[in-house]
Amino acid sequence: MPDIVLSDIDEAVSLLSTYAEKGYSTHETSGKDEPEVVSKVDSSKFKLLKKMDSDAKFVAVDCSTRILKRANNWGIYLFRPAYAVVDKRAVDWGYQEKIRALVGPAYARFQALRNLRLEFESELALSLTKSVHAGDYLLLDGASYFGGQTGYYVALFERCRDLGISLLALSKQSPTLRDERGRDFQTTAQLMAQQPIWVYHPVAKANFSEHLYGDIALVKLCEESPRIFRLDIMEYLTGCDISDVVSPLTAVSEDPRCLGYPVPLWLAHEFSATADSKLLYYLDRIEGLLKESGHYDRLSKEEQACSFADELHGMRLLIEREVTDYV
Amino acid sequence: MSNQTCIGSINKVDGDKIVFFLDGNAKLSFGQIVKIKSGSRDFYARVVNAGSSSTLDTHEQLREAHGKESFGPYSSYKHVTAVLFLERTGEKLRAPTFNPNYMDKVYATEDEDCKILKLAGDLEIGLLRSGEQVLGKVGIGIEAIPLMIGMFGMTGSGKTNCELVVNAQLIDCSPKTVGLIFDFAGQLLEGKGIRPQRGLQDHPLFHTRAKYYSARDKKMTVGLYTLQPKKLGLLFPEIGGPQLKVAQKLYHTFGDQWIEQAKEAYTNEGPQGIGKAINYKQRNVIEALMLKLLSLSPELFPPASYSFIDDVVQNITQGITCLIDISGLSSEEQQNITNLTAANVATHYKTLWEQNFEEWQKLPTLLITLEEAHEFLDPAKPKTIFSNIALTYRKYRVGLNAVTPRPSRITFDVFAELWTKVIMKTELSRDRLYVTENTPYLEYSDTELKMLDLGEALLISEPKIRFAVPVKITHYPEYLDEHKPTDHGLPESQQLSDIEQRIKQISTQSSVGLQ
Repeated sequence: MPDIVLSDIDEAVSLLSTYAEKGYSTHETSGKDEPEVVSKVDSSKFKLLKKMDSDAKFVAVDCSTRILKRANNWGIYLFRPAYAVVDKRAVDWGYQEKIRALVGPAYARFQALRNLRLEFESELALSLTKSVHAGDYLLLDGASYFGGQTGYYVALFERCRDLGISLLALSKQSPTLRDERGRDFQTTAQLMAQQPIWVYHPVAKANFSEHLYGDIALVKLCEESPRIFRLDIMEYLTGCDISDVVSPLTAVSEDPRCLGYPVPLWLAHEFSATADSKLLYYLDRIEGLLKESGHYDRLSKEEQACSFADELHGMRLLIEREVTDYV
Repeated sequence: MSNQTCIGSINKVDGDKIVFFLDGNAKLSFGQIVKIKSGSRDFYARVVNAGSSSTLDTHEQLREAHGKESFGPYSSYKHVTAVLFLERTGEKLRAPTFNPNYMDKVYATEDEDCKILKLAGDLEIGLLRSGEQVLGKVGIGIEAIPLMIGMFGMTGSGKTNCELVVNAQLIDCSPKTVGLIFDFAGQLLEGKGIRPQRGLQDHPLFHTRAKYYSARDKKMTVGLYTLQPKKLGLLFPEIGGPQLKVAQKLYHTFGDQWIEQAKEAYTNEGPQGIGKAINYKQRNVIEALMLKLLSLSPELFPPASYSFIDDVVQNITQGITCLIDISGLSSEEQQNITNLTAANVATHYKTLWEQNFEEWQKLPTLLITLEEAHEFLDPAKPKTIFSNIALTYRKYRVGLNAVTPRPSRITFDVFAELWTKVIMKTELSRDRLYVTENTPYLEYSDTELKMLDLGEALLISEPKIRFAVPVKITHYPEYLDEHKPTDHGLPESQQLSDIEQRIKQISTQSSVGLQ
């Protein structure tokens, strides 16, 4: 087990021990949801993409979160930020593992988990900028919110801009985009599109005051795939022809494992998955340390107090479940 | 009770088969005996198989193989299959009446268990193997000798060493026991092939309690006058009734010298000469019989009344082990000598049992060691005295030790009678299958037999050892080192050369005196 994970576990156990001894004082957890974007679909904003090969290097970053233990007022989570570098057909990858304990109500933990994910992804992406060059692509999984309380590091944006790296943020879902009638914008755009592969730009322009650092666009990257994604194109790239910026993505979006989705992001997602056996090992160690600290019984009972619904659903261990909206 | 080492926990139980997870640091070997504590009962089981597996899916395993990531202790496991053979409740030992439970703890056996299992015997075969260690002594009792023994193993597996160890102890136990050994390759006297080279002649009691016969010194002969027609079946197992009838007629006509006379008549006058002498007309029967009689080697079967077999019988009855070296003879001659000698000795035991029971009781328990046993016990060949001994001579205290690299060529009826089996490394799958299918407690042991190393064996000796015991067979030279001659503190005897020198001096002096 890496030393960094061991020290993470010690810190997590220490935090929970303090909680078990002293309880916690509720505090405001700031943070807000992404703002909704309402726009009318304009057929003139569809631009044809060129299917092409690319010599550029594509780097993608993703982070998974798994629950190791949780109760009503606390949780211990494993974060695994991972990256994949696709250089033509060669793939390199790597990962980090971090364990964090969070004390607070579920909604506050949800926000905190999202912030931690963005923090870890930003740190990893920043470290990766050392190995990419101008013209290469760095892909983030999500929307292009930077700075503030719930965004990627601004430093990442600035580094990519300064180095000439094409920084794009691609979201697997786009629930905040609505058409003028309040319907799902993505579907409306899909129905109106005429081209086999296209980019719809912009759905909304970058707005630094709202921490939105990129223009919101939609893309369809593979003719054979019906999938459409929200793509945030950093503001410093919008001065170029958007089609030229986005078209190289078609070179990495035809992998049959994830047709229409950039394979570097798919790989980063795959490499961010943690094996159950490893989670079991971490859990084992945490429980051992909690027993040593003398707080295991209390914390274990708190855990049981909120686990009945999981048991009804046939889940024996929380590690079997990945955090999405469940914390 | 000592602090025993827990090596795992039971994962699955089905009938007499248990599967347990092996603890990370525990060491185990095929055939090892393990103990399972289950409430008030202890179960003993033998390891017959093992495997290793992973909880990871393929792409995780690839990451691990690539060295990119390691997944901790829950990512792989080793599972071991063992077969129950014994149950112990308090001091009572018996075959299992039930089986252990899920998550019962499994322990490695130790010396204490070895004592409980009562594996030691009068004739020590070796030491109990437990993983990389060896524990207490394992052996068979004298009472197991007439229950017949089989020693199986491929060439180089350690059969000769095992034969030497057993027979050395027969010599040690004399006059309670005695051995009759047929040595086909001439290995046992000097221990050829044993490193360091030590044979039966190096046994401290060899010169007083053993006798060596060899075909090479021309003294191992069977006089023709000692061959009666009823023994022809031993020399020629395929001989038919009409030929035996002709032989009987010849014996009645010519007496003890019937073979010699018949040969002479046949040489001078042909079949008619024989027919005339015994008033028999079937020319082809006479010719068939004479063909057999003429095939008897004059070196081995000279026209004489002396037979070394009488000497063998005499020695055996006195507890003197007889080593009969038949190397250098043709295959047929080896079979002739072996069959005749074994039959005479066995018949002596049988006759005494029937006619003089008190004298029979004084006889030592006999073990006949027969190398290349498959040549004598092959179902495809005519029956020999050895199948008869294996099937019917146990009550006369005559035991057969069938030594062979090809157990599958031993007729099933005889194989079933070999209650003690020492099974060494056997590579031919046909032999392994035959052994495992036809030996109780070995039905799951195919892998184990394959994995045996040189000098290792599985021992079953019913009714005392009713399970296969993994044994490290005693190395014969080490056995000799442990059984050195007793030093009675007597002064050293004079050297032979000194005595010869003295005799020369005396003879010189006396000749001078005479002058």
